[in-house]
Amino acid sequence: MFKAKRPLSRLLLFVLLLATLGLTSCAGAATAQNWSGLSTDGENLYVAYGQGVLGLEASSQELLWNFRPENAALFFYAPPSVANGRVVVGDYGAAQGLFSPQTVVSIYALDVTGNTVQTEWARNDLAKDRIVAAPLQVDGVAYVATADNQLLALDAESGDELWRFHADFSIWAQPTFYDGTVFVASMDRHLYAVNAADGSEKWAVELSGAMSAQPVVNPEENLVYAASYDREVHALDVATGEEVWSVSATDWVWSAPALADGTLYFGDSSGNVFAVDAASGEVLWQSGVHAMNVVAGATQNPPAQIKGAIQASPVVHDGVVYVASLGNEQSEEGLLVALDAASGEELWQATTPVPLFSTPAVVGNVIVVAIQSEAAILQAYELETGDLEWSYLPPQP
Amino acid sequence: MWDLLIINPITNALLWLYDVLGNNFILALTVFTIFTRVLMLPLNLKQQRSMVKTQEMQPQIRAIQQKYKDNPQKMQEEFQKVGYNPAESLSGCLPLLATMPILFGLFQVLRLVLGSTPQTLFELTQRVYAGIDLTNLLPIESNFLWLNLGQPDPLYILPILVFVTMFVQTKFTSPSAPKKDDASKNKKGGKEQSDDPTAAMTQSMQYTMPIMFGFFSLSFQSGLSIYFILSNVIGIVQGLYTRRVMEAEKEAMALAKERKAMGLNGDGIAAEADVPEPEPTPTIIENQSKATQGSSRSQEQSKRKRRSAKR
Repeated sequence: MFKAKRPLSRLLLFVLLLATLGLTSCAGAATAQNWSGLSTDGENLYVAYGQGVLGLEASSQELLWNFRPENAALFFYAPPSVANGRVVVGDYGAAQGLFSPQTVVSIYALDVTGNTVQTEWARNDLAKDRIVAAPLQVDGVAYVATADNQLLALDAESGDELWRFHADFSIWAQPTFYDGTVFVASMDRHLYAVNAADGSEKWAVELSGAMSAQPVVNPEENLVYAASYDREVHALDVATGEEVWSVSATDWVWSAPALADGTLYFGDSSGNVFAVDAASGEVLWQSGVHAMNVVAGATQNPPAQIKGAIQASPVVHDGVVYVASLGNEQSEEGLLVALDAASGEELWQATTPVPLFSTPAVVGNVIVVAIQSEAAILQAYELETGDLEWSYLPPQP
Repeated sequence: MWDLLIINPITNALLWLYDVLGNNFILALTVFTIFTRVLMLPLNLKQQRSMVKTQEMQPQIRAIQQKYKDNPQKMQEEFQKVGYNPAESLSGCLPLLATMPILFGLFQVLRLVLGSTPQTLFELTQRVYAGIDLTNLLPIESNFLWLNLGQPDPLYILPILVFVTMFVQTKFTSPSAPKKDDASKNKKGGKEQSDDPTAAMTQSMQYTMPIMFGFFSLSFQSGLSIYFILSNVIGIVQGLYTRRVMEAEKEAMALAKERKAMGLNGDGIAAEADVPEPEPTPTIIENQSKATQGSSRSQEQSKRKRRSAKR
């Protein structure tokens, strides 16, 4: 019995060792750190899906290229920016070594002309925290927002830094360019208007909530729209930042509104979709995105409607608003819903294998959603009916 | 269950503290650390007392071990007689094991609360209790001096501090090992001091723990390292305090014994002659080396002399 004390000390050391291993493996675990990022140039799809970034021909689902850096600890989630055959994308960074406190984050420019991928340049000295936001390419300049509070302007051709603008907190939202001004929303609750020529601040407006949504500019009304966690969408004067109107949602608005034909569409975390007049902010319609309570293929009687939070931006195409939702929390299935843009009436809904966090993309006659499941990273649904057209899983290296 | 019992309460406690302490995360973390240490205080005190007690009984324990090495049952009976329970050594590990869930939990919570991705924020929104308005708390300020509390210390200062404070804490909370001379006097058959499992465990812990946690801190969030450091500093203060209390208790007991030996009661009046002598502490001691007893006594006496000289 007494002899058992020695194994006890060993047991304790063993527990501590396990704890060490557990904690260190937690630190470097290859688990998903965010949801996938999806973008399109109208023909091809570009997906940052964690392990890498790939280009896919939408019509044939043929893999054009797959960019995976040598360092397997690197992850990509920010939607890639595509312009003139060049993809600009940033990674989530990786520690330099197992116990190194230094995280190295890189920004890459990839030449994807000719359906191949070649690194034009890569910079690992610009950012110290993740690239969450999609970069933006305008007139040969790549604007890259970082989670370490910076907006970088880089020469898209060479990667040279042109200027940098500092916010007070992380920037998760893609910047917007309009008429020589870069608009950027930050988690520090500010919407900044930055001079695109030199990075100087034109104006900054503080709202009551943090922002992760890309600002949207309406040139016709000279308004810039900012969606915020303060449960409101604000319309600000492009030139001064003065608030013209604001409209209330029922919960946080995570993602950018969609502007089409003078109407602004947005969804909130409580699963409500709003259509407001882009000039006045008047609410035209409000609709809940509901997942019907379906068990084993049969709708329950009475059907319990389950609201799924909306994290992604709505997509408007040919008079239809497509909304990606987190769907049913219980079953952990996502929901893609098509609403009539004029009335908000539901046209169809499709259940996806996992909740939908990323903004979908319309290509051809399908709407494509990025998902993170073992079965697929992309799924395409027919625009008219919501029928599943195809799923795509990249070949394993 | 893990989320319900550990992650969510810690998350909400930190957020609530952050809110009431003027949106200062380092302050919230400090108060949280103090709270968890206070929560663990009874367990820690018990462990420290148990360790000291076991250490003091080592000569007796070794003697029993030696004498009844071929008769475990008898060994147990003798252990019981002297008031020693080997299973109590388990309680020594309890504070450490009890803090493990907090440690693991805090690691996850800091990733959530100070996370720099939308996904971590989304996860956070799923865990926040109704009374906490996350909208007003965001963004959670994670900068403190040169540190981003959600990321490792780039200057390696915190890992060093973790190592140093944990080493000092372990020193203060562990009973001092008997001197080698005494130990060798106590030996029979040339067994080394390191054969004493408690002492061996204590000694190995004194080095392995700080080294391991120092390594943790190289790659962990600075916030977690600060938790370690604060927790260790509190542990050091607590260890010093417990030592003092225990020494005072010892002195009081020694004084009481002396008084009894002189035949005085608590008021300094001679005790009545017919008061029976208290039963002597059971000892095993048939063949136990007298040198052991002698050594223990002389140690105790010299300690007392030193103390009175100090006074």
